Amino acid sequence: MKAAAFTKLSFFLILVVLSTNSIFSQESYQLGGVPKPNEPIIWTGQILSDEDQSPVINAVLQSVGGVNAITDLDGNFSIPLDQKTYRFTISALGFKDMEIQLNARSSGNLSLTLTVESVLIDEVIVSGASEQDQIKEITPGLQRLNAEQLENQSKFFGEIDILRSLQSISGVNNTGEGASGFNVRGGNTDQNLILQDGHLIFNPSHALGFFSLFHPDLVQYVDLYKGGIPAKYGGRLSSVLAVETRDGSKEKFKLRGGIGMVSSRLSAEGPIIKDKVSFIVGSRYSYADWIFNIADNPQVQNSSAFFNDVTAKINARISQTTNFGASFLRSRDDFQLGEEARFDYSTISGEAYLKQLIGDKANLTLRANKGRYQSSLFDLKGNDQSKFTNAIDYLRGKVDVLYIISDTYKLNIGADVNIYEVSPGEIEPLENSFILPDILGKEKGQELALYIENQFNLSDNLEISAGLRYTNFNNIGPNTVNIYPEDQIKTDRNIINVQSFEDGASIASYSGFEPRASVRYELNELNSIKLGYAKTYQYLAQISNTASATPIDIWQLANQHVAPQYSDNFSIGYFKNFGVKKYESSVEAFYRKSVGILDYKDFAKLLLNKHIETELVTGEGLAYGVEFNFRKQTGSFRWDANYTFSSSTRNVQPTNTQVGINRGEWYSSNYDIPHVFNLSVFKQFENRTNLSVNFTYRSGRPTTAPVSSYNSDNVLSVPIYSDRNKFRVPDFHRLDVAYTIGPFGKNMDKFDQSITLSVYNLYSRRNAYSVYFRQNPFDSVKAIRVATLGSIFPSITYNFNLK
Amino acid sequence: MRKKNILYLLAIAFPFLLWTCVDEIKLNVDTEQRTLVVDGFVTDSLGDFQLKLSQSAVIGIGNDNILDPVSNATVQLMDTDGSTYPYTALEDGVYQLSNFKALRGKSYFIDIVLPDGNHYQSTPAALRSSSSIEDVTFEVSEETFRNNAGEFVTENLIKAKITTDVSQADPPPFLRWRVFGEYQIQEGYPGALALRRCYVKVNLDLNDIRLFDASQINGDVLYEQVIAEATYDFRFGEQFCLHISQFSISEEEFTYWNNIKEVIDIDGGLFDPPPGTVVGNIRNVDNPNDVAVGYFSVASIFFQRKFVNSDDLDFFIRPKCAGFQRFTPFGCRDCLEINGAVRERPYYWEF
Repeated sequence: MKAAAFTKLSFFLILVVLSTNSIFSQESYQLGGVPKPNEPIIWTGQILSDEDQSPVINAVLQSVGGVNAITDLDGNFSIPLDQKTYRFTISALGFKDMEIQLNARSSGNLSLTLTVESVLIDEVIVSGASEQDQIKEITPGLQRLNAEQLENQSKFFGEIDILRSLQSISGVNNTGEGASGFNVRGGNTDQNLILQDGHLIFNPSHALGFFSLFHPDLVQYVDLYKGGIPAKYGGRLSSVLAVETRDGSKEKFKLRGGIGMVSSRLSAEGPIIKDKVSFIVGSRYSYADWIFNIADNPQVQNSSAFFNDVTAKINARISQTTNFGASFLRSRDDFQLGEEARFDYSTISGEAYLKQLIGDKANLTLRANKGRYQSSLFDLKGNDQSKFTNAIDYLRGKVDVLYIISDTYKLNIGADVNIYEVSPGEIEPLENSFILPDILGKEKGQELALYIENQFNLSDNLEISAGLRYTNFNNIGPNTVNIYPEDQIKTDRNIINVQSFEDGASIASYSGFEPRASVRYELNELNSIKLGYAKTYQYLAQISNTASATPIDIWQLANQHVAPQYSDNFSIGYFKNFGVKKYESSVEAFYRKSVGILDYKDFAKLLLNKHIETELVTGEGLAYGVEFNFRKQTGSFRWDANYTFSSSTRNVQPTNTQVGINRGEWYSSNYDIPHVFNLSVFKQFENRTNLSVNFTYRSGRPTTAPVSSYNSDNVLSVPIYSDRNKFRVPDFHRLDVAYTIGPFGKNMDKFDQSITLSVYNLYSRRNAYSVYFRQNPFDSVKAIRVATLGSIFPSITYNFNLK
Repeated sequence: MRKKNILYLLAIAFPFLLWTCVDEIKLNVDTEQRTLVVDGFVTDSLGDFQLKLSQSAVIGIGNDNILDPVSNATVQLMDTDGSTYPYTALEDGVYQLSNFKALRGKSYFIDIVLPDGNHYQSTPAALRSSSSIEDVTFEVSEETFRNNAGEFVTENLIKAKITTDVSQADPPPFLRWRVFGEYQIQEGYPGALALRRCYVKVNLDLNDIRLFDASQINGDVLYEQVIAEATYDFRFGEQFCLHISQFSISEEEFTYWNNIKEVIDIDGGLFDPPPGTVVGNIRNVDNPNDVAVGYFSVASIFFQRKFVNSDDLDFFIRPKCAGFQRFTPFGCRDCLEINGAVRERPYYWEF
């Protein structure tokens, strides 16, 4: 893992142990020459990017002994040291961590160069934390999207995808091919906080769930917090997916892109004012209609499907200490099937941010976001043609201060305010339709969070992070609330009153403290143990009564009838490296108890329901499991294997105000996948080609099956179903292969190209997305498997990069 | 809003899903769960009403649709005034209430005592105002749809549409339709001396539930509501009569049939809701955890017959037995070979 390097001699004597201008990770350096007694030792320098020698802002230099510093807007730093040998880790978003040994003898200037981790993204893959991180990272359950290992992961139609890559991580799943979103450690899809920079993402999926809206060429850094969630994040029970986009180059113009069989992507970046202001913009566009045209069916031929997205960002360095920027995200999907129906959904969000260095110890970040997610469903046939729309708008402000108080103490404080406005549904008649227009009242909510997090290095081996997050949520008017008898099951027939609230009046208010803690104990250089705990509240839930979340699912704020959900998350992990850190292994166990989990009555009617609380039931959730990871992430032959055993169950007790599920007994949640095994193998050949092979196996997801049947009037064979989720669909497994030729080109310093040939589902496994039961009037009931992708998918993608 | 159907269509709309595979697999569902099934109704039309009692069939044991009848039960209709109307046993599991007509303003429920002593009752239901059918029209069109094998097929379909005045009902009614068909076939074969006719009844709405909640409409008239669809084939070559029953049912019954419709429409789509057992209106009086399935309906009815005149439709269809054919089609030499055929001309036959 050789990096281009840079060294700079100061006016004082600097003796660099390496005599070349190349610096390698974990190398030894000497600062200063002859020691000068009674003279303080100050290490000054600059952290630079290996790509264009630009300064790296906010890089953190951290020693095992607890000495810390962060770089300013010019990448400069200054650290007081004692006369001794230190081990420093230098890390920055978007760069590979660097570890050095520094022998401090006297003051001096030593600059270092970090290797860009993600600029060359052609492919995003997921791995565990890097080899330094695995042992030293304090947060258990943190998985880092490592842009360095680009080519290992599954490709669908030759396209790379962050969400698809996430599913190769232990503890991350989804309910099947084509399903939206992802599930972390048995949690619901809506229990993941998904952020791109400061943008709240309510639906991260394109094309139902085959692609995600994250533009891979713009992604700088992705963190997935599965267990130990830092106090600066909150609002969801299961996980946090934080995607950071990178700034455009302030040095020169660059262009990159890829042309695939169903979609293409393009991104451009460059300076607007050299060294001061830069832009980066990326877009993707699908053109899948040609597939419709080769279908035999005329109705399918008349259909269309497309998605596109645009991500743009401007970054300006206003002064030595101030950085300002704005970003924009727009994503849209639109499908139409003949003249039957149409369906679209979109995300639009804007952000302004300010990063301010305060002295040389603190860093202030301010963010303001405004966005909207909307979906529409068009029924274009019959005399009840209609358009159904629902949406959620949000306004967000966040302030975050990172303060390095001492060598051993880091403080992170901040506040986060979210204002939501949910439009739960509106139906409009289309031409020649007899139906009545209808609209449900909007719901408004304000969520305030204050947090503080302290990170202590108690010794060389022991590091503790202790945080507290306080959240307060107010559901506010104007709105009306249905009132039911307190001791009866809520139904639309027993509404005894409707209470009205004026604009701004508090309808329901909830608050809670959320302690967070992480502990890392480093047994030695190759072994560490981590513990984590996080309590989280969730005031916003997706109302989804299907095995997979759908783009038209509505969002529901906590209110008088729907209490917030909360969970206690525990995790513990043991991390061990082998063979001079050549191999990594870990075992992590987790346990999550959730309260207030929403589930649904049988045959719940969720669309345009003015008393939706009558369809909901609440209960407890319990998820636990253990994850084993083994990997080799260095060299030309790399592999990553993980196995997860887990359980995710629910319990909904019958009470005098709600019906129970399965008579109040525990039952499997839709995301209960007991056994998951993933294997990724990557081989880089000397002739600039590489091969990646990915295999995944997981237990079939739970399903409900008929156990008996009867006739009712003209309906033959009405099924009587088992308890909810008593059975399972067949197990899932799939093998994918990709072969990449390149990069190649005559002048690769300026322009390179590559071609990726990929085969998805190599052995044409018909993985059951679902199993349903066909009731034949004159025969026995048949179990029918629906495999959304039941075939092999070969594809080819061309990528280019103008540097 | 036909959410589920639309979403299924959209799910298959995405191009990748053209590779969707649907096939049969073995799934071991090992159980012997059985439940009492009640299937019966009364209306405000004077007549005989049958009620069937059975035990549900166990999945996977032969034909799942053969139910075990429950005989020797005591069955009676009761009203909330305390009057009782006893049923008599006709055959195994079939009981009949003769010469009865439900009256407006009364609530009725069924009372069943099984030979083992278990006692069941339905929820009392009042008769709702009926609504009249104003017009019935027909439309033939070429439609493409997925068959049971998951393949796209194109066929000519005839749709029966009704216009109904719902202004008489207050509150707006919940409507359910049952539609039976009956067609005439004239024999035809080489050398035939006397060409005879048969009349054949067909079940047009098997597993097809047609419902409407009139509170959704804008105005007092429900226009061109499709109540039946059928393949437009030889049966429409001569004369075809539709027997249309329009029931005004309770909201509870509407919910029941809506849920049945949802259950039988489940097709494994990406957005299918989790299935569940449809609970009807029958409860064990002594054990609230023992829930029977099925429904006992109390409804008002509006009945109408309507003949399809193929000459009025743009789609010509040749009678099955007409003209020279190399091989005589089934039923054209002796139309009584057709299941359910009779030679007696119905009194209401127009032609």
